[in-house]
Formats: sequence, C-alpha cells, structure tokens
Amino acid sequence: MLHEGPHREDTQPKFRRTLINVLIVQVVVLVILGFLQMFYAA
Amino acid sequence: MHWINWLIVVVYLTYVVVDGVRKSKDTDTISGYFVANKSLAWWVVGLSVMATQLSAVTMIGTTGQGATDGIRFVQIYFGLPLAMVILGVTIVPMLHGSGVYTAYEYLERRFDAKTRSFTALLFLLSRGMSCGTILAAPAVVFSAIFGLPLVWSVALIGLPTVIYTMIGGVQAVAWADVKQMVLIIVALLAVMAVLVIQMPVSPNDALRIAGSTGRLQAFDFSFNINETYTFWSGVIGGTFLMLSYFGTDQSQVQRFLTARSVNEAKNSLLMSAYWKIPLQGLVLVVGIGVFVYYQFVRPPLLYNPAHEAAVVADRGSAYSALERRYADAFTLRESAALAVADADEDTRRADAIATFLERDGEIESIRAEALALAGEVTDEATSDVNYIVPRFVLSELPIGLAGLFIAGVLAAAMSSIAAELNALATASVIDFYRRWVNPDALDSHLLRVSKGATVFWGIFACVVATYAATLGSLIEVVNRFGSFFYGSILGVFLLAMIPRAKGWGAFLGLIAGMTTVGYFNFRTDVAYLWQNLIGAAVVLAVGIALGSFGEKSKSEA
Repeated sequence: MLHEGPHREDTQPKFRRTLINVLIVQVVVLVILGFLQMFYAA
Repeated sequence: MHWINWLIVVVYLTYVVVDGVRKSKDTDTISGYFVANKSLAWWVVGLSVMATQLSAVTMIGTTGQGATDGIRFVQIYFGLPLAMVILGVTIVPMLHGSGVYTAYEYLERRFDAKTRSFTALLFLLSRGMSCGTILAAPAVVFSAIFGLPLVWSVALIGLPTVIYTMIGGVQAVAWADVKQMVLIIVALLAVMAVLVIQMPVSPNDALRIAGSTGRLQAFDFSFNINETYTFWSGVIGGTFLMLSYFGTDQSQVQRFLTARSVNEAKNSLLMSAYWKIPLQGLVLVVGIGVFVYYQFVRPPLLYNPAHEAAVVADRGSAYSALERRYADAFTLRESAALAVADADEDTRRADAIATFLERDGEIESIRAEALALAGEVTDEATSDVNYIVPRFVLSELPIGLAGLFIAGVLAAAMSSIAAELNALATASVIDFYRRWVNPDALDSHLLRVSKGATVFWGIFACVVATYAATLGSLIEVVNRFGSFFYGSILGVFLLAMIPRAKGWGAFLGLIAGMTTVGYFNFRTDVAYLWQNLIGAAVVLAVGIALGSFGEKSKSEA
C-alpha cells in the first residue's frame, strides 16, 4: 500500500483545471486588497 | 470568565481527547500510525495542512499585529499559491510515490545516510524547540489573563494534545485538525460579526479610519531586500520559504503522505493555495477591526492584565496620572476619528486625517510611557500585542462567543503542536531508532517506541514552554539557527531532482548553504525571507559543482 505510484496521466487535466481556479481566486483576492489600499489609503 | 465560557472550553478539550482515542482503532501498524495507511481524503489532509500551519500565535499574535501594524503582513503569503503548485509537480509525487515515512528517509535513497541523518537531526533540534515556543505563546497569555500559574496553562494545552497524539497517531491528529480548523474559522467569523454589529460607525467609515493610519496598505512594491514585508520579498522569498516549509519540513510532509493518492496529496496542498491568503486577510482584518472599535470604546492602557496589576500595586500614583492623561487623549482622538469618518471633501479629509494621526500619536506616546513603567516594575518584556485581541474578546464578546474564541485559540495551538509531536516522533523512530539502533524491529515494538517518543517530545515541549522566559536567549539562538538551514534543506531536495548530484555534493552543499545563510543572518540586514532563497541557491550551486566530479549518483547507478 505504501508503494502506490503517481497517476499522472489521468489526473493532470483535473490538476490543471484546479490550478487555473487557484490563479483566478488569487487574482480576485489581490484585486480586493488593491481596492482597499487605493480607496481607503491616507 | 463566565462559567458558560469555561464549559465550552472544557467540552472542547474533552471532545478532542475522546475523539482522538476513538481514532486509534486503525493504528496497530506503523503505516497506520505514521501515514494512516495512505487512506485520507484530500479535504481531510488539506484542512490538516492548514491547521498545522495556523498556530495560536496566528490567533493572538497576528490579530494583534493587524491591530497595531495593519494588513501588510499578508504579503509574506503571496508566494504560497505558487509554492503549492510547484510542490504539486515536484516534491509531492517524488515523496508520496516513493513510500517513505519521512522526507529525510528519501534523502538516503537518493544520496546517503549522512545527508539523511544530518537533515533529520536538524529537524529534531529546531522543531523540538519551536514546539515549546508555540506552546509557550498562548500559555503565557492565558496565565496573565486568567491568573493561572504558567505550568497549569502549559498543561491545559499540552496534556490533552500529547494524549490524543500518542494514542491515535496521525489519524487522530488529522481528524482533530479538521474539527479544530472548523472551530478556528467559526471563532474568527464570530469575532468579525460582533465587530461589524457593535462598531459605532459604518463599515465604510471604519475602513476610512483604518486606511487613514496606513493599516489597509497591503502592497509595498519597493525593492528593498532589508525590508521583510514587501511584495517582492513575499512573492520571491516567500515562495522559497513556503517550498521549504511545505515540501521539506516533516511536520507538513507527513500530512500529505497520508493522502490516498498523489493526486489527492496535490489537491490537499492546493486547498492552502486557495484559502491561505483570504484566511490570513481575515485574521488581520479582525485585528484592524479591533483597532477601529477601540477608537470609540476606551481600551485598557496596558493590555496585559498581570502587568497592569503589578504597576497599579507598585506605582499606583504614577499610573493613575498616566490613566487620566490617557482618558483625555482618548476623548480627543475619538472626536478626530469621527471627523475622519464624516469628512466628505479631499481637503477636509486631509486636515481631519492629520489631526487624527497627531492625536493617535499622543495616545501611543502615553502607552509607551505605561509600557516603560511596566518594564521597570516587572523586569519583563512589555510588548502587549498578543493581549489586544484576547482582552477585546473577554470584555466585548457575548457570553458563549468568548468561550468559543478561547476554544479556537486552544484548537489552533493544539493542532500545530500535535502535528509537530507526531512528526518529531516519526523522525526519531524512522530516521534514528529503526535506521541505526534496531533495523529489524517488529511493527508492534516500533509502535511502542513511537508512543514513547511522542510522550518524550511532549514533555520536552512542555518543559521548554514552562521555562520559555528563562530559556529566552537559548530559544532565540535555536530559532535563528533553524532559519539557517530552512532554505538549505530545500536546496538538498531540489538537488535530489538533478541526476548528476551525489551524496558528498549534497552534504557539503548543505553545510555551505547553512554557513552562507549564517553569514547573511549575522553580518547583514538582508530580510530573512530572502535568506531561504540564498540558502537553496548555494546548496544547488555547490551540489551541482561537486556533482560533476567523482562517482555516479545512486539514481544513475
């Protein structure tokens, strides 16, 4: 059971999709932080 | 604290221990005890990864940092999503697919025994000490706030943690982490909700007040390698820090080794990539909210109640005089804060902000005098950043929610400590006991040794936490020493992916990397985030240079 190998071929598309979602979420978060900084800075 | 709050804390502690013991049923082999027979779903592992990283220091120290310094600390995490993606295609498949119990075990397969033992020893030294310090931070605050002897606070956190970690192994740790993570998020959201409801001004006005002090300045694009919190140090240095922490530190590696498959292990790390920055933002915004709230409700002059009591007893008249000045200054600052919220033209707002900052400066100078007084009386470090949010919670939150937050702080402390005890026991048994002392030991024997090792490291952490104040300089030295090799160990793992690298190159590269980082640490002002990058780069350079000479590496043989 410990020697389970990687399953690259059947997991890569799902991983890539998740990756794109991660990037989208990060951009949204950074935009919100940027908005707070721009509109409420001294 | 009200008895209902205490009841919530007791129910939480009892539940964690009972649930941990229940999870011990599948831990009769070392595979079950150390890596849960690689059976856990990605979301369990993902929450466990996040709970391990989020300690009580985050709940009380980082929220306090939000209150005093604002949101710019979030920049340190900007490299985390990228690091998780890189780990998902490099170290995670490499370690998960190789069937190892520890990250260091892999280094022997790839290089040699000395590289494995040296890195494992560095891990034991630094994590053993850090486990004590992450236990000490909330224990000291609980002691001061509830008037408990420090040893009781340490036992309150340490004892249940050692019990469920020892009995249930990694499964108990992971499942407790899931519940603890939910509790932590609920507690933070509850504090946020109370702040929004009880805030005397609108959320927009609260943001204006916070923004006028610079607390909403999340980005600093200046390229200054001596400055810790900048966009570039976060994205570049932070990426290397997160690669080191999540990819090579056994306390995190052991989390993803429990995942059912490589893909689930990758996805568990991506959960942090999604949620870490928003979560850290929430933690800091809670602190900022407390800062704004305290513009309209007068906070204590000293947040540490033990120091406050000592100063009142020893320098009562001087402290009373300071409190009178503080009350007057507070009234002036409150009206200045309201003026900032009400100003609707640029020129009026600029004037209002200037007045507000001047009055806020006056408050800070009075607090500095009070802190200096506390320092003279107690002869202790007087920074009270860690006490700001706990004091707010206990005085302003409704009955029940305060107990929930205290349980959340305990959960944050216990989830990190449990993972570290579990990892320390694993490295002790797998990388030293089984490797050097008793290679043919049966699982049943190794299990007994593992439980003994968990108890040993638990006691070690409790002793370090109890004597943290006395051991202050020693702990600082060890933590500083620990930072020397974080990036360097990452360098060794990166080297493992380069076919021409061999054992002596990795070992000497590690020494060279640590020495270089030591130099930068003591002789320059280069911020520590950059030192991880320097360490990794030196190990790679030396390892590759030496790798071109001598025998072939094991992977090529």
